[in-house]
Amino acid sequence: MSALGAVFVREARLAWAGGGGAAGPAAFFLAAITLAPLAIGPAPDLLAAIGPGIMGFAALLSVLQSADRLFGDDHGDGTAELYLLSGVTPSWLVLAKVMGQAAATLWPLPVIGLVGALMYGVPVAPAAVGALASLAAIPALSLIAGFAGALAAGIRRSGLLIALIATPMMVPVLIFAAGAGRAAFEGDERALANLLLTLAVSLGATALAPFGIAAALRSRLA
Amino acid sequence: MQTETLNFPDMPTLRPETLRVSGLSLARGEVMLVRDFGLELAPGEAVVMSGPNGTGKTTLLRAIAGFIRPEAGTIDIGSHAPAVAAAEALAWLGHADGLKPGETPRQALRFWADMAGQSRKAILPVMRTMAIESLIDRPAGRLSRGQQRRTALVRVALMNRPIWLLDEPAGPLDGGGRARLAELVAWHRSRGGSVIAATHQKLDWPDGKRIDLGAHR
Amino acid sequence: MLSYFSNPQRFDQLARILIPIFGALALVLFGVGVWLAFFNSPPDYQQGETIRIMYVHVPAAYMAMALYAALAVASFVYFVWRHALADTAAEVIAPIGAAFTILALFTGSLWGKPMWGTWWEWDARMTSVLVLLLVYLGYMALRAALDDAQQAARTGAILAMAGILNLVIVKFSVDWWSSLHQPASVIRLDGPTIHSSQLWPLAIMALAYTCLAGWLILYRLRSQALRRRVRALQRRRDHVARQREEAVS
Repeated sequence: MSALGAVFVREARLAWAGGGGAAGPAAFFLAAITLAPLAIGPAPDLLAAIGPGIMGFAALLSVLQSADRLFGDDHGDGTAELYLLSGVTPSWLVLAKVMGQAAATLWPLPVIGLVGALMYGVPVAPAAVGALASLAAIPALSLIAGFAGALAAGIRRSGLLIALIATPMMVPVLIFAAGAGRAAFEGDERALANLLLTLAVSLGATALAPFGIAAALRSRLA
Repeated sequence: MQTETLNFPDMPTLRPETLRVSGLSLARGEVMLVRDFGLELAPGEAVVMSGPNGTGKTTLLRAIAGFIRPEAGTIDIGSHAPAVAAAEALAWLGHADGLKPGETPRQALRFWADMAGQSRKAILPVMRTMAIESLIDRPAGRLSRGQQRRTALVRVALMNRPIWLLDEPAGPLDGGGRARLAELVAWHRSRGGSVIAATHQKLDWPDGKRIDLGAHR
Repeated sequence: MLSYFSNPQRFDQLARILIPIFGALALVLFGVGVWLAFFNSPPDYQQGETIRIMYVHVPAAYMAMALYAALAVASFVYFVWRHALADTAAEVIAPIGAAFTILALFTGSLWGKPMWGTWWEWDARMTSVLVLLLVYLGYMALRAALDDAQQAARTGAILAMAGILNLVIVKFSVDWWSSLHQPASVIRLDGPTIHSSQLWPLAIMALAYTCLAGWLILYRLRSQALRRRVRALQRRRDHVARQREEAVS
């Protein structure tokens, strides 16, 4: 197996075996979208209007929820050193790692987002656009979480710090991804533009974030 | 002490490299730990660094591995310019073993063999030389500290890299483990490999150079 | 690091001269600026007297952004050339920049009440500045969480540099976001062009803010550099003492 493939498979397997895989983010997502109507009230019009936005917001929180595991363990158990000395280009390696973890843990988010939007009374078409947008947002969200996670790796109770660092960086992708569902719901023709912008941010993050993550990992070993 | 002869596997030929350290100064938090340190490690050689805690043994190893940038001095790997990248010539054993508690030695060692582009065939024979082949399917979290260390040493050997950097390699090892570590190091040196170990234990490696880092300040 | 041990003297001399100059300049400029802003400029034809909040608000917002740029530049200098003074500068700039950001948000909110009728309007500029505050807070929290000074410096520098790229994209995305809904307000912050009678007090206030920031940064930079030197001396003394103990035992 190629080295990058090996990293992808291993990280997916570790996320699955060690951290319960997709169960954590999925359960968190479900809890968040269950609580929101209880706080806001059951008015159907209101819930349908905020549905696409709440789905994007809850997906973002679910990604943050597991972000401390992304690089925290590697920092403590000596894996980070081994990765940097493995001879595999570090930026490619961390990209494979983050994608492996994301594939294992985040795949239910678009599905729950679709079901959740329908439960909020969002019509099928805009709900599907929102789910598609959250799928397009996952690379950006998980890479940003990875960057924050690498910066804060191994710090005690790093979850809060990671959330604080990652939140401002997730602003654009949240705006575009949630905006896609919102625009589709309102019949605004900018839904497609939002969807494409989400994809653009994910591509940009894929191109740039690995360098940042590799540099962050290295800086934490100095 | 060794009554049985250990069978080391056939692995692709090593490309021996020389490590040259000269004029090296290292600081930690504005305290100079190492001043004007020099070392030449030729293929087949072993160096054992000793010295009390806080004298910079680990810092020196981390600097050679490229994790810490020295205040002054150079570290070169390879006999010719341009120097070889650290990530191609070094095998690393740090304080932590780099094992995941949920992963078995089989899974972990296969992964690292793939990463280094080495055959998985060598895993079992090397594990046998460290006497842990029976633990191959036990999750690392359920291995003892000594067994984990042995697994990490197998990983070091599997990478098939010429220069080994070992930080307290014998720390949690028992007498048998230390003897097998000595065998492993002797095998590596016989293939043209070299070793730098930092330790405050006595390592009985034949004709290993000794450096007392306490004297290097 | 070596340049750090050789440079502080020179920096110290320079700082000792510059600190009182910046302090005095800030004082004079604030005196003139406040007088112009409050007593010697006309009220706005639409906003009336509340336009005077602008003279406090706009320079604060400008400083909030300029100091983040300075933070990123200092981080870049540290990251590339390992100049310890640049790292100290970044460390010192962050809380000052955050303070100006809070001031900008606070005065913006005060200005928003008469203009929009609400204390807070989710308008593109205010939202961007709020995100900027989060960026500052994240940077400071990360540095505070790292005990090792060198790690804090390297890691902070990487985050600060990523932050500038992030802020550019945030600016674009927030503009896009707010354009999806036309805000209900009558007057926009960027609406009417600034009259020359307003330009003078604004420019002088901006200069005054800049001098204040310069004074604060240099003052903190100097005391921080001194503190670092004291700490280094202490640590070296402890280290020598420990070695002597070990040699005896």
